[in-house]
Amino acid sequence: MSRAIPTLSSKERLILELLVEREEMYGLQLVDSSRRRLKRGTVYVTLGRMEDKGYVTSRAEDPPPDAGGLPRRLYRATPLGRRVLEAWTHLVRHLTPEPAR
Amino acid sequence: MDRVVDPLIADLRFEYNESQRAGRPWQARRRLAAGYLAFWRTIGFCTARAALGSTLRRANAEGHVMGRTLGYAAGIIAALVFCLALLPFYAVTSANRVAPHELGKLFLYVVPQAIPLAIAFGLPLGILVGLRGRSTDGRIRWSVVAVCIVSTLVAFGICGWVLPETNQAFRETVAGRGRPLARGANELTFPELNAQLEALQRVGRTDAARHLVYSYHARLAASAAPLVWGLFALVLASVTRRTLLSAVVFVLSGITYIACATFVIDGNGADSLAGLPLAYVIWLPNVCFALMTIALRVGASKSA
Repeated sequence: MSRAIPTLSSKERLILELLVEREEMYGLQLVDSSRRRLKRGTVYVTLGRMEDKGYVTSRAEDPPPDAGGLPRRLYRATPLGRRVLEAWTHLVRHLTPEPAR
Repeated sequence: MDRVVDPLIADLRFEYNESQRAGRPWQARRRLAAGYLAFWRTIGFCTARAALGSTLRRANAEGHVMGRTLGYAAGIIAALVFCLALLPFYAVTSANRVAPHELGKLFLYVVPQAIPLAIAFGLPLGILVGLRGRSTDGRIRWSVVAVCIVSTLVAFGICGWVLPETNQAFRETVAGRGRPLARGANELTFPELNAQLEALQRVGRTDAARHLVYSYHARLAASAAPLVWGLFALVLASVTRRTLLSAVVFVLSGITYIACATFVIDGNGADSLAGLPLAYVIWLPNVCFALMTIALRVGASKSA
């Protein structure tokens, strides 16, 4: 088990925020919900990396009986992913200077 | 890669089928085009990531030998470029009156002259230092050979096209007449030299073509020097594995090479080695060192 401190890029953070909000989502659903902040060509690479880090988990959707081809994949945040997002949000909130009153 | 690409294809197919089912063929086509773009971007990212990962893993396994070799070579080449450019720059600016605001420009014009020579000597020295005390496997050896080939191509481009232009710009700046000077042999690119050589040989003026032949082959031989010297250093490093000994042999060889080249440059060589065409005489130092490299390699494999 790696002892390195978990890191979170801005895209990973956005994905985790969306997954925490909606529980389970497809890759393209994440792109649509992100208001163009996530791109179709990179979202699956980011999701793959987040799976390696243990931030998200995925399962193949049960295909409808008449459908052929590859099953779609649904992603959800893991408890580690939720904890990292929480810690990151906490850290950002504490490090961001307060606006002058 | 399947883990990344399969969900993308499944989602894109679903999106396309949805548009078709809803009776929106244009939306389906647009989504198909966007899907192809997304697919190839994803493939590109995955390939780049895999290549980077395997390169880093390989570099770790090899103890960063290639990185070290390239680093040393780049450092030595940079230092040599500076020194080799400074000498002619200083000589010319102290002998001619040059406006102070043109000094920086003049120095830049001299730099391409220094680069081929700096690569020819800096790259092999970098190889010797980078590979010191290391047993090199086939992959490292082929990587070094690839670096030598790339360096030779860079030197070829500089000698053939960049150097003539900067030489001419340097001459015109020093002359300071504000009008273009006639180009000499060293101020002609390879295609221009070729064209002039052919024209002179067509009318049978081979004596007049002599200085052109000299410039053409001397620049070609200088371009080939990084490959010849790089391979020499690679074989030397694998034969001795003792940096000091390798460095001494290399420096002595370098002195011999420069002496040979000077012999040719003075023109004495071409006259002394009567019977040999001028082009052959110019290539002689490179050929000698290539033969020495082969002899060292054969000797090393026999003793192994």
